[in-house]
Amino acid sequence: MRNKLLAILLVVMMVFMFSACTSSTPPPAGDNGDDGNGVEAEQVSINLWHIYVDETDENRVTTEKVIAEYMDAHPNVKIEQHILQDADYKTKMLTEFSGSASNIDIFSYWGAGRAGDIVNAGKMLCIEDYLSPDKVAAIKHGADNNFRYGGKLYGLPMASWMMVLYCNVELFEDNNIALPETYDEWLDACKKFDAAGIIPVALGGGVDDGWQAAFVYEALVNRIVGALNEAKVLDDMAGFAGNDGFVEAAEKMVEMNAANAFGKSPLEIDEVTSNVQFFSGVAAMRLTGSWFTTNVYTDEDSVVAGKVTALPIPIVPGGNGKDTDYVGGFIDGWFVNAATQHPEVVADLAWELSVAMGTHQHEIGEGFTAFNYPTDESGLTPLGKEVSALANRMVDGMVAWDTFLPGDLADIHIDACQALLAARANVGAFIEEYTKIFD
Amino acid sequence: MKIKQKPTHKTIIAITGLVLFAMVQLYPLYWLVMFSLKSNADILMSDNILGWPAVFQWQNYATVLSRSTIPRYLLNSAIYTGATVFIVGILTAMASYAVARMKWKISGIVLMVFVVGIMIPPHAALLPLFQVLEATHLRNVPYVGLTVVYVAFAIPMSMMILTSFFKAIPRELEEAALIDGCGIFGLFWRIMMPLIMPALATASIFTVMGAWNDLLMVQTFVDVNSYKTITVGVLDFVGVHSRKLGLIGAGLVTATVPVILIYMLFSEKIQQSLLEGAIKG
Amino acid sequence: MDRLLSNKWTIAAFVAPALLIFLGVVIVPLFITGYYSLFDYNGLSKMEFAGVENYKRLFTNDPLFLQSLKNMSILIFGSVFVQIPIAFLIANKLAKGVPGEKAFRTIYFIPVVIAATIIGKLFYYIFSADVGMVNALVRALGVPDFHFNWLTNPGTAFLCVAFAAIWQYIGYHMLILYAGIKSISTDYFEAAMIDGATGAKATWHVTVPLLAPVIKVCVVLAAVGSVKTYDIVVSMVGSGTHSGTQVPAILLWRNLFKGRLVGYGSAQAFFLVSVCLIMSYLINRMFKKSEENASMS
Repeated sequence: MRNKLLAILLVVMMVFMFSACTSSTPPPAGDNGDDGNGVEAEQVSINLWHIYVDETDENRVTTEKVIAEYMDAHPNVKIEQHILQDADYKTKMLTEFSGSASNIDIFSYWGAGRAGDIVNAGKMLCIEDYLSPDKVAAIKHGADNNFRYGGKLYGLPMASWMMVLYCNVELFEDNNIALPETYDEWLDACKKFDAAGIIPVALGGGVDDGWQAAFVYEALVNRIVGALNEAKVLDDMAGFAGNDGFVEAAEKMVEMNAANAFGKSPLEIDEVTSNVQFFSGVAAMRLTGSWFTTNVYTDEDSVVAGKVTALPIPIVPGGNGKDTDYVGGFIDGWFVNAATQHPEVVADLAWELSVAMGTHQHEIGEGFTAFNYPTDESGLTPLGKEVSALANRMVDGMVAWDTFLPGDLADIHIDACQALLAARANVGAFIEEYTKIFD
Repeated sequence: MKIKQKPTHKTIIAITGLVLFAMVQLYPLYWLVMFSLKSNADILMSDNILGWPAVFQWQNYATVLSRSTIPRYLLNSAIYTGATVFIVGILTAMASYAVARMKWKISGIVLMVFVVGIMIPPHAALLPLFQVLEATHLRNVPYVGLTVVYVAFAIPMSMMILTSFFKAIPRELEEAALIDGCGIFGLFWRIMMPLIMPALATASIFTVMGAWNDLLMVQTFVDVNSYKTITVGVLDFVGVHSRKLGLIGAGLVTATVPVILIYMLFSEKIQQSLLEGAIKG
Repeated sequence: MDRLLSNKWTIAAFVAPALLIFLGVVIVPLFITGYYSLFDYNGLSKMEFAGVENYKRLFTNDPLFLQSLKNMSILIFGSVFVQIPIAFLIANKLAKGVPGEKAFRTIYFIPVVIAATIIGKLFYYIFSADVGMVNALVRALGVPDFHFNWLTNPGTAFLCVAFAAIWQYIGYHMLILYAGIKSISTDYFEAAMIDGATGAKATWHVTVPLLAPVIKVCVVLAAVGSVKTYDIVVSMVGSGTHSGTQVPAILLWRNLFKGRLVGYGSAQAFFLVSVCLIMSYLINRMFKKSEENASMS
């Protein structure tokens, strides 16, 4: 009898403990009542999410600066940062948005297909409704293409990036190789560098940086198919099969790889490694985005500052790509959760962030602002000036496909591009994969 | 009774083999420490087999340890892991005793249900689990939400270990205790628990590993920075387009050392209990 | 005593807490996963009933998945037939008594305690074509310019990963087996010695049969663990499929979280759990026979 009582007691205790834990309700996001400043203005608590983990990353520095300034200017607002690195961030976003994402007010994300998923689920705030018309008008024409859905603006662009072929001039001169302007010159230069024991093009296309492998393909497509045609195919999700340009681009990529243009093991190397290869002077070229410009000067391993020049992607003779076409565009931006409790404040903050970051990236030569506001280009490094000059020439662009396509298709694209760098590269299979997706 | 024998050929070969293997097993630690003291270029460019840094980057440790978040993260890891080990220990000791020893028809099925838990890849249940925790409002309670997840995932392994050990205990012990007038709880606490200490310590090691080294669950379920663990903290050094590998290495060493220490501590406990057990048996 | 041991309230009190937490956190989500697997669901809003479409696709239209199953089988085979025997030999040697037994036992388990991501990175630096130890060693031994792509050559890539995964967990099984061997009463060995069986014979005829339940646990853990392998692969070669190194858990993550194919990913997950269940059932059956033999002796 005593045992039976004890047993009941134990079970009851457990149940109580359990329910006691669950009954403490979490503080609702949005009303932070302990700052003592809420006489007129309502206390607002904002959860801001982004992927800029590295504290020395310019984007993070700017973000934190804006946050600090905003909190100063608006004492009733408290902004808490949440940072996750790229892959984990995407996982987190999907998990959160499968529900109401109540812990997320404003977050950095990618427009076009990715944000499109959230917009289509009705969970994205239509930011246009919360911005004054003159602000919306300050966005450069075309910069918001990837942020408009059904004609309305759902997110804010910051800056456009551009793919650049960075070249270590010293290595070129030392080996008597001319800077390449056409594909054939490029291939030739690669062969010569390989023979001299120098990595021609540092490319970190392996491990989880497959998007770098995709860069090569996208660069070639840009020059062969042409940016406008390319954009049309991706917009319509049709027209891939008939266009031989896509096949040629794949063939050329395989051709370059066979000549060891990307080193002997491009699939093993990740982005950081290829960066270091270029910075240490063991690689002659680096095909990557304009964000790389600053790193040439600031990276602790860099011995090449001052020796680098920025070239556009080499032209493919006979291709439809003009030399005013570029790979890149406005795709990174700030978005707001439709379920946020303070849309006006958050939209305002998003605006501040986008403008600040867009302008700053422009001013250090990492990108090109999306806004018609004046920028101060006096602080640009020599390389930054080159890149900026290059960008000013450019007219039509297409962003990296994996930032444009929805998740599962982006995966297939990256897999396929990596496969082109593999030992058993098969252009036919490659084209088949894409045809399935597109048509 | 042991006769002291002179070491034979076989013994010497065996010992040599064991020592070599021990060196192999220790190599990752050595490698990690070396890694944490190198610069990016050193790590990525040189194929130095011995692994000695070209220039010792001691400042990596200074940077990691001076970050204000690190002690907090270590503390949190300790809290989550400690709470999990304690709770799992008690709950599974009780449950496995019931399954192994008490007489009820569905004990086998219940054990199977627990064992299924080992078979679930964490990613698989992540999204639904998230939705369940949201629905029960457990997620936002400080420390509790994540601990509950850790406890649940540690239960199967612990059950398996403890059940098989309970089954190996001779029934005579229980009969004797009950004849002496022990109630079921007395029997459990005063006789059974001490007996399974080695098994409990072993199971706890696995629980510690699962909880301490976890990354996925923390990132999914813990949003408030001050409740995060050290495994997440290490990722603070991973940038979008740049990574300071040596810093990450130093962070990893900081995260790994505590587990190894805990393991060694528990290992002692197992050793002691095994000796006692051997004498009694 | 039987009355005491079959008291329903007592049993409930003992089992309920663990069971409740477990059901809520592990089993319920599992059923939800099963539910999702019958839908075309993108995790956000779109949810259309698809019946067994996802499962059909899994088997007929997913070469990536089949490759991952093949890799998983390599892991299972390696862990059951290579890892466990090695672990057993070491555990046996240690349990018999060697100088420094405690130290060895402690050290051997250390790789298990180190996070799999670290081990993965380590083996990356061992097998890397450019800076890896293996290639460096071969070059030092006189083959200049040796540059084999261990990690990206489809023939060797996954084998290297398997090597790392199997090596890491030797200590894991060693610990379990060691504890098991230690708890075998010395009476059995003395009896065997009287019968003239010592050394290897004693091991085969005494230790192994008595250890059967423990070995069974190890086999199940090894097999099931192989299904869940994820971290070590990703940190060693990434989650890409270009060199055929994908394992089911990687595809699962990709489908669920990057690809937003929650329905399909759930079907994969559910399938994997079923595979584990079947494997563990088969393993149990195989061991039942030897357990019966052991208890009879």
